[in-house]
Amino acid sequence: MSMAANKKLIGAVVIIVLLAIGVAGYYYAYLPSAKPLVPNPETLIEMTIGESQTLDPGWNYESAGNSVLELICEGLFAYDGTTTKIVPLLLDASYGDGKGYTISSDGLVYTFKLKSGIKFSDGAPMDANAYKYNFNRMVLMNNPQGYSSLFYGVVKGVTRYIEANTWGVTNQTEVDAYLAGEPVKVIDDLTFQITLEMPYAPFASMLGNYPKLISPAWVDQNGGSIPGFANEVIDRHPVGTGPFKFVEWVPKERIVLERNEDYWGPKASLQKIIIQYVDEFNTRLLAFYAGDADFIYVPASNAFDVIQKDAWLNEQKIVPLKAGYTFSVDPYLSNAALQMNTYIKPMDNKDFRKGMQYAFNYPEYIKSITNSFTIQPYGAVPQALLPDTTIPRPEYDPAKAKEYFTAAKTAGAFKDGDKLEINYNAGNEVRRLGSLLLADSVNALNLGITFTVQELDWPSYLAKVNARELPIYFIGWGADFADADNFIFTYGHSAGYYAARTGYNNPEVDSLIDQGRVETDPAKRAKLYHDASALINEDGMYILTGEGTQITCFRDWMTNWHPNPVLSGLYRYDVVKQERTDQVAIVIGISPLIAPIVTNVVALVPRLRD
Amino acid sequence: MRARDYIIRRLFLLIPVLIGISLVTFTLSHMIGDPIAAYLTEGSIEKISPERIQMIIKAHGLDQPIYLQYAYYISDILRGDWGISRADANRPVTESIARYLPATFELTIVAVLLTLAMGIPLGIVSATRKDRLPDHAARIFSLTGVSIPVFWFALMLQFTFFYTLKVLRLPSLPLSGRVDQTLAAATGFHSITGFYVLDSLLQGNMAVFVDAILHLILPSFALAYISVALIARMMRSSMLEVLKQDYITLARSKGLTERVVIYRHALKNALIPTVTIAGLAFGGLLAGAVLTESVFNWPGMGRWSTGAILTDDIAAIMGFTLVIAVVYVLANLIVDVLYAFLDPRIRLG
Repeated sequence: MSMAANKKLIGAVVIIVLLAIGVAGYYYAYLPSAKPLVPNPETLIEMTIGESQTLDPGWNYESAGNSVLELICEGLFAYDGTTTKIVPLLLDASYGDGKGYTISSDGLVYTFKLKSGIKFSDGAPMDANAYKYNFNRMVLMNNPQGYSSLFYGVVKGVTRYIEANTWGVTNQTEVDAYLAGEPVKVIDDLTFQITLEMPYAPFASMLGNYPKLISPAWVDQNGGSIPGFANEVIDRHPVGTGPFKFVEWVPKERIVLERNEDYWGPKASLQKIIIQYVDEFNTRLLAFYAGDADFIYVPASNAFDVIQKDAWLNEQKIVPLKAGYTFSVDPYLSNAALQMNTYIKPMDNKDFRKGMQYAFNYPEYIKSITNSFTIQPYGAVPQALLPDTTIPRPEYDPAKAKEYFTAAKTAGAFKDGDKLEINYNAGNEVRRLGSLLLADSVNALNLGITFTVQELDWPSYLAKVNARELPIYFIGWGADFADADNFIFTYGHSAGYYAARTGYNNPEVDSLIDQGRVETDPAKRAKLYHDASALINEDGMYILTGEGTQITCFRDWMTNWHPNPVLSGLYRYDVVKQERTDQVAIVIGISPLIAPIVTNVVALVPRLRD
Repeated sequence: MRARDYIIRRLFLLIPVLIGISLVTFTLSHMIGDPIAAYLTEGSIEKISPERIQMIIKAHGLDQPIYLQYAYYISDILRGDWGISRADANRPVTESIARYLPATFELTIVAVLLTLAMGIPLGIVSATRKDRLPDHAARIFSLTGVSIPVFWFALMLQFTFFYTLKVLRLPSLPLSGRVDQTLAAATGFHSITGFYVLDSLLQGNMAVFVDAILHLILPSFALAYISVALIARMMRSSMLEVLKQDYITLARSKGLTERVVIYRHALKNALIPTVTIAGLAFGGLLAGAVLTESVFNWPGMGRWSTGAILTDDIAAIMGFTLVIAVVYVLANLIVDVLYAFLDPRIRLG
């Protein structure tokens, strides 16, 4: 090569090296060592999915709306830290031995005393009349998508009202009858009583979530409360006593809340909360890494985009893929099961059902299908409510399963050539894989009966489930309130929602659950539910596949947070955004286009020097 | 037939089209799904008792014969009540359309303009430099667009122009949405027409005007790029056809510059098939580019309609279908009128 060409080459290399050093220097100077400022220090930005259906606390019954409402509208109780224990919130903790309420000796009348001086954010007083207004409004609206049915059979007068034709029409006769019974009675400004139809030990727990209070004045100014009908204004704009006030709700975009400067308790450190609805996970993740979002919803299916897979699957250890954020997995009061419908053969045969229970590969389901984001239940009640690992439960045991199936076959429950379908609602990947797992396990036993899996779009799924046309299908239950009765009654009592749907009726279980509903001693209740859970397991009505967990993922400048098994999402009232000494920027590396160039050029420099 | 009469006749023909579409859509929606599903969420499905489901059915007349339900629906439509969209948190369908259609319209207009701005010149370059490097380069550029999954392309745009620039502390483009909400709140911006670019100008809010345009860049480019190939290739082939015509040879032999030959004589005729494609593309984009809207969190018709279909939200499906039918018919009408403008030989009617 000529001298001129050499000089040109050297010159070009020098220029490239200088540029690369400049870029690398800029990068190294600015990114890893610079402690990022906390963006939007007084505003929490959450990116999530699942927009609320309503913000009316009179009928909101889903977690998306509830997680917003709990900041605006408060109920009588709150949950104590990370536990399911209820503590007085709007109630006067100096009353009733610290509980804020007393119970009559017959267990039928609850007397509540409210704190004084609390106002709704529109200035209206929060008092006994306001509570009565809210409770009655909830019952009289009786939105079938709401939660008024929780009080069916519990509060005086509610059963009759709910059973009558009271939705989509104002049934004045029933309204008058309900109000005349005065199930909620005002004693004085701050004291009121609720009368039950029967003693019900979990009643106070029930009030932990429902109802949350809205300002009666606000409702009256905006269309009022019409029995049998929802209120479209209130659906979109609640006014409560909570630490935040509603600002706006732009559909499919965001809900904005601002701090309630007149809050009766310690003011929130955050001035504003913005909840953005972003369906696409990668968009949420980019915003999270860039600091534009403080907290994002991470579904279990995307968990390994954020934490190390092997560390979690093998050691249950959370190792974030990058520094700068926290990823937490905590209990959540929910469970899932495969329900067997005794109205359809061979599910009416107990041995067949027991065979199904032992044929399900629980460890494989938990590890491979749910990626260990669930735990195997002991009974129908999640362990966060009933921490009892002595309840006998079926385990994966193909040999034992075969014994049961053989017994069922001998009894004529099924014959060679029979087919059975396992159903799940379309779009639910965990249920699809769980159904396939069960089908494969049973088919591998070569019993002569063939299992297939069929997905149904969920409108059809709903219709067939309610028409009792499906022999076995996936179900799930999330806690309405933090009490074991909410689960065990649903699954085990013959009048419970799931049990009634599939013809389950064990008088002994009914008796145990009925006793548990009135028993106030926690130890005795636990024993009753232990026995009931054991019997339900023994009767083989369900394959209890897993108890839920909730995933929380937030930037490291968010402090003072705590998960709660009853509340979904991050309870934002306590959250504080502040710099930490160990705070780092999230470095995911320079662009993939630049990195190889820099690496190769830097590697070339020593050779050039030589 | 005069253009005015032609347009009026075409608009009248819209009515039987809409009736036919409403009938087919209504019937199919009821046959495929259970109308009650629109009133329930997947979460509530396992908590709501059969008795309470019956209450909903009765309250909304879902137990009536289907022909009666259709009759009630049409009479409600004529009175301006298009029903409630369960997929949009129980808002009136008309409100949902009023919100999402302008958002999609705004995005679509910019995307189509970008498509034409890129596709037509590419087609001209390809045709005038056939089989040479510019033709090959244009082909590669445009075919890349049609080959790349729009979903992935949108994510790469976000990663490059939002995230990478942001971590390098350089000015970056917005990640998602239509406007910076903090800026909008701070400057008192509010929607008037639903077209944020227009609304910001009407309010004299230049900060939001610029911000709205910045928010449009990435999603409109993602949408435009996948359609460029269609326009570019159509333009190329029609331009090649036109350039072979005798009048072009005559124009050249008269000594006109190539620029004049192409842009004054050839382009207008070559545009005719391209206009058809552009019109159809506009209608298609207006129906909602679901993937792009999802990635960029653009609150448009695509996201809303997809949610409606997945939840069997019949009122929303019907409303969406009727609106898009009107859009397609109008788009076709505009294309036909444009034909007459571009080629005086074409007579309307």
